[in-house]
Amino acid sequence: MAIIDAQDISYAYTGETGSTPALTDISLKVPKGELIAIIGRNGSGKSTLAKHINALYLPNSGRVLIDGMDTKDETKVWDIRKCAGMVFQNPDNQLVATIVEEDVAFGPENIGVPPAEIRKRVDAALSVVNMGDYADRAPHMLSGGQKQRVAIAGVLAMQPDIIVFDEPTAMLDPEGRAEVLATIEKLNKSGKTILLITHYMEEALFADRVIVMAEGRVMAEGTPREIFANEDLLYRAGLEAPPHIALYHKLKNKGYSLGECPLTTDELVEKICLLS
Amino acid sequence: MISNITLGQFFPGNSIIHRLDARIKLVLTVAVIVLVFLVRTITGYAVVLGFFVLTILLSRLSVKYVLKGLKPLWFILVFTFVLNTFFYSGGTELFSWWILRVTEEGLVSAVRLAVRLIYLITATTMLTLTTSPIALTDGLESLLKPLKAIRFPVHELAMMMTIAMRFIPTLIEETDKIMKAQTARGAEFDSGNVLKRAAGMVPLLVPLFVSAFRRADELAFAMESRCYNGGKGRTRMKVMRLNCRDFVAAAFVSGLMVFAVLGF
Amino acid sequence: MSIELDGLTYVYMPKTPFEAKAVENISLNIKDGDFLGVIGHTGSGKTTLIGLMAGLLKPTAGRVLIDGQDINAKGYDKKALRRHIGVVFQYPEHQLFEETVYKDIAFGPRKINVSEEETDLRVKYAMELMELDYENIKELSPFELSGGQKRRVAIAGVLAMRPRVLILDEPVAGLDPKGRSHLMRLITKLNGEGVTIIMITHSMDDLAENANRVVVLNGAKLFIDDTPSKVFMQKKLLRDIGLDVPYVSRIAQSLRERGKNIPDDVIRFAQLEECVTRVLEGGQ
Repeated sequence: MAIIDAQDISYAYTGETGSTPALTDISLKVPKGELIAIIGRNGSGKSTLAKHINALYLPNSGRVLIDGMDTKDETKVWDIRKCAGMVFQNPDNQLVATIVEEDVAFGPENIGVPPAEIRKRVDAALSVVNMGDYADRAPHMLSGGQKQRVAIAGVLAMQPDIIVFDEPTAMLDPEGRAEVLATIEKLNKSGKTILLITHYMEEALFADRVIVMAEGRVMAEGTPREIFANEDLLYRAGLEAPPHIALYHKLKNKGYSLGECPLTTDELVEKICLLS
Repeated sequence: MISNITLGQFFPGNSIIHRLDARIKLVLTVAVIVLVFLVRTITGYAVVLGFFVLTILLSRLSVKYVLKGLKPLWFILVFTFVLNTFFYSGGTELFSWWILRVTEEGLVSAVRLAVRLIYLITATTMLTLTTSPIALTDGLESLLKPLKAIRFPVHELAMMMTIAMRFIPTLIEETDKIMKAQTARGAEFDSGNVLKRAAGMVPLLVPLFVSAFRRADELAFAMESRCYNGGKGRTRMKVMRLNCRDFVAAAFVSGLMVFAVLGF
Repeated sequence: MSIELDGLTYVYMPKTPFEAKAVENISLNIKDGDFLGVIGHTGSGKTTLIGLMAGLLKPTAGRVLIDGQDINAKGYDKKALRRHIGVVFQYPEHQLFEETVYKDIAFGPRKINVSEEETDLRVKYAMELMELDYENIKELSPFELSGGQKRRVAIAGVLAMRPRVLILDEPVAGLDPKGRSHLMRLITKLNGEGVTIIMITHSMDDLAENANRVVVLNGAKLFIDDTPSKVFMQKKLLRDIGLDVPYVSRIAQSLRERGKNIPDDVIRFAQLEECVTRVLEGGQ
């Protein structure tokens, strides 16, 4: 059974000027333990979809089942949010307490975990994200990458099965990005189901599956190799391939048979060497 | 970089005073303030002085640092002193000049008031120097718990204070950034008359407010995602426990109160 | 317009326990029409450096000379400087505040006492440069626009002051790839029209494609000052100080290590494509 099962969901924002459709007929099934990347331009509906996973938004039509629980079921909201944690784009606007360990404790405190158990969870979570030495620091003294890792620890302390990352690296410098991506990989390896929403294609290269969104719809779904090999798809979705994949496309169009799409620069270099 | 300043005047340390329970410190500070207004004799004032000296010594803070808390208020001290010295009605006159009359009682009253003010400021300074803002908020929340019975939003208040404290350094940095950005476009924040300056604040205030609302929105999502649901059913990782030293401190101050009530 | 930095040093929070040198003894000459990239790990002093260049910060030591004049000397008209040096900070859309797009972009020119007619021309000019539809959005509230549009409005607000030098702090941060390349194209076009560009960025690829000069900061000091090709050739040196090289350089380097003939100065995509095609055609 898929741990995330979105069935034909549609959602529109209602404002003063009427309603703006944000999602149209989206279906998504994610088996336990997978790392799914959702890519698309700004405005393609990725973040809106993300907020349906932990019941921050409820679909206008269709339904979302998280580990069998319907997000529209009011009695199950807190269980759903315990099961599916979420990390947002702005590292600052997720941290609520004046010192790191108190912020990580925020989640468990909310669900009434006994004090001694909270302590254990906080220490464990900080250790997973390598921020144990910063437990008594103030958030505003941390770098973007460090703040984001504290935010991740805060989610981990609730012991979720699923973690949704909504453009977690968009506001970080390269160092911070690398730290966060390494953490995500580590979490997936330890069994967490991960939904990574991003507009950086390089981040989607190592997912199990990639979903391409455009204008509120799913445009395509497949393995990274399948998706990135499709130049036309990327163009229509308004995405740009990283240089090594762009080069692969250019060479393929010139007639060179380079085989399947390379995911790393090393793979591309291999292919070129094989042919020359 | 301004955000490197620690909040309030908290000076971290490990002394007995630092380690006293925040709730006890809050209650005892109030008690001490009452004490300061109860004592009447010179002996009384001297004993209170002794109490402060003892507390400062135990806190291992430098006296200079503690007296720094008086600096911003020196004007009020001098003002009160002068007012009482020269405008005290009644009493035996020492000398007079124009509308100013210096009387013995006036002088005594002025000195009393000044000393009381100094004690007051010192008491509250000691509280904020030895207790972290978080501890103060937690202590306050705990003390006000009984008010929940009359539907007073104790938890919500404490949560608001914590979040405010968390974001003050961030907001200071942001203000600095916005000021620089607008200055680069020719805005001036420090010239012109009062009206001009007020109007000049718009390019600073509007972005700050817009940003604050956006922050609040995003923070709310993040808090809800972590199952925040108000104070109902919430536990705390750090549990406040009263210690031997807290009882000793309470006993000590109670003793002083009795002493004062007895007429000193 | 020449900008000369002479032994610039800036110390944060002097005489406190938090004292730190943000910028140390930096000397640099920026020529008219340069497209200068400023790179360095976070905290290496980049933002402080541009604050000093734009006269928003006073140096602890050293001088900033614009057209030969010390901008921190007594009597220097800093307001006049605003006409010539424009600064776009990170996430510039956060500084929007006026009721309409027009008013926000007109803020700068009006502040430096440009006539109303001239201001009108400048607003149109700036919006055109940033590919913003004048007629359709000039009366809208800036807060109603999309993220990418907001950013371009904010930059237009600086361009309306017609600066000869434009300093940008990570102008493409937070934009999606299409947004990034669009904005970079506009910045490059500006440079083509004679505006000197000084740009802080983490995107080596953008600099490889567009800059004519790259300055590397490390630990508050000037580390390297050279053309993009020469800077990005020094992969190991850059890695040691926590920086990476453009994708193109990485691919070129790997191919070189496998014995393929890719010249050292290949840092642009078009160059790489050409060289690799040549290699594949059997010409070693």
